[in-house]
Amino acid sequence: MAYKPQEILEVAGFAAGIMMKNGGETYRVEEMITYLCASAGMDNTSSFVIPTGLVISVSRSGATPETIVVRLRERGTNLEKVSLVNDFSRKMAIQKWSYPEAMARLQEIDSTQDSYKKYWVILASGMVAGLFTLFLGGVGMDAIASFITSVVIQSLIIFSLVREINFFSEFLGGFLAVLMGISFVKAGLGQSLDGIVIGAIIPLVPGIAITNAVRDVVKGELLSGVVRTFEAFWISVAIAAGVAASFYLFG
Amino acid sequence: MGKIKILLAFFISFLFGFVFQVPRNTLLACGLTGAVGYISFTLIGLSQPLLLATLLAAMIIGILGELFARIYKTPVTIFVTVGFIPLVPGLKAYNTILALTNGEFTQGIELGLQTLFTAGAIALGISVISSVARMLKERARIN
Repeated sequence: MAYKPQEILEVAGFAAGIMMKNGGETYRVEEMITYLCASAGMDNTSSFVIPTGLVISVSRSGATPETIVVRLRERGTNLEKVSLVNDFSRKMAIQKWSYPEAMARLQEIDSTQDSYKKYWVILASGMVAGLFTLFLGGVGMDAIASFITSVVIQSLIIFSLVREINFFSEFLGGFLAVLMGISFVKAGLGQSLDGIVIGAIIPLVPGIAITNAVRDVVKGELLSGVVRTFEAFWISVAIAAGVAASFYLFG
Repeated sequence: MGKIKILLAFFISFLFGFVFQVPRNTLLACGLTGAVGYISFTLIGLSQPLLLATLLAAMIIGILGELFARIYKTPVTIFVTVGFIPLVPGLKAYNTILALTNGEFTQGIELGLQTLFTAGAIALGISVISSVARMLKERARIN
């Protein structure tokens, strides 16, 4: 595997970018970069990764270091892609993929369709909401109400432009949960407003941000840990603000 | 009722896997993590305070996550993230917001702190297991 520094930088930068924007932990991304570059024959590798961008610098001993900067703007959640890139980095050293082969594989991972289509995700969110309502002691009608509420919220988030505005979709989710919950209870379709609202906002919980924040802090990635804690906190505040605003107006 | 709740916890975590786009073959393990987490929480909660039960349940979820990650060769995040969802203090958070909107600040702050501590217990439980796993891994590498 004879890689030029520029080539391995492109491969590592691409792989790291896919992993980071789909919900991988920072330390995992940095370890993968080091591993990929070492397996391509680089003697020195340094990387700096935060959720909004990354820098990698490599060199063979005695040579001038080469650097790549990758800026990450879109963020999403697809843990399957994180897992696939993880597999890619393990296999690359064993399979001895050449530069074009490696790039083609990464391109394929990056452009794969989500394994669960949008309507599946919406349906699953609705079911999570309904089940959570039952979990909190709601009756069947409450569960149906929270299912419908969550389906509406998720469809709005997934299909409309609100997704593009940071934290607004969570605010809207909280707002709609209460508005629709109150309407359902007033119409006699459901008894427990609490159950309906909590169920409907559970799919908005920033689970990945919380888990990764904790795992990054433990691994000594303090900066990323803080960024993700802040993200999780801010998402929670946005949901709470939506719920509060809606109660204030309609409650 | 208890058995039904365990089943509900299983499906909540299972279906949450769709939302986070986890690999298909891990879905069952995701559900299992959620169910076992909830069972531990309930059983420990019978004799221990709520916060301790949450902490220990989160640790059990962390351990299961580390195990499944090795079996399926995927990141731990997958199992842990969906696993702790049934423990999320939704009701407490909701009551906090309600109290604060109604101007009952003393109660709001009390509930808010309870919510924060419960969330903290979940985070702490996961982090303890992550650090132990990390330590063991480093040690294995040195030997």
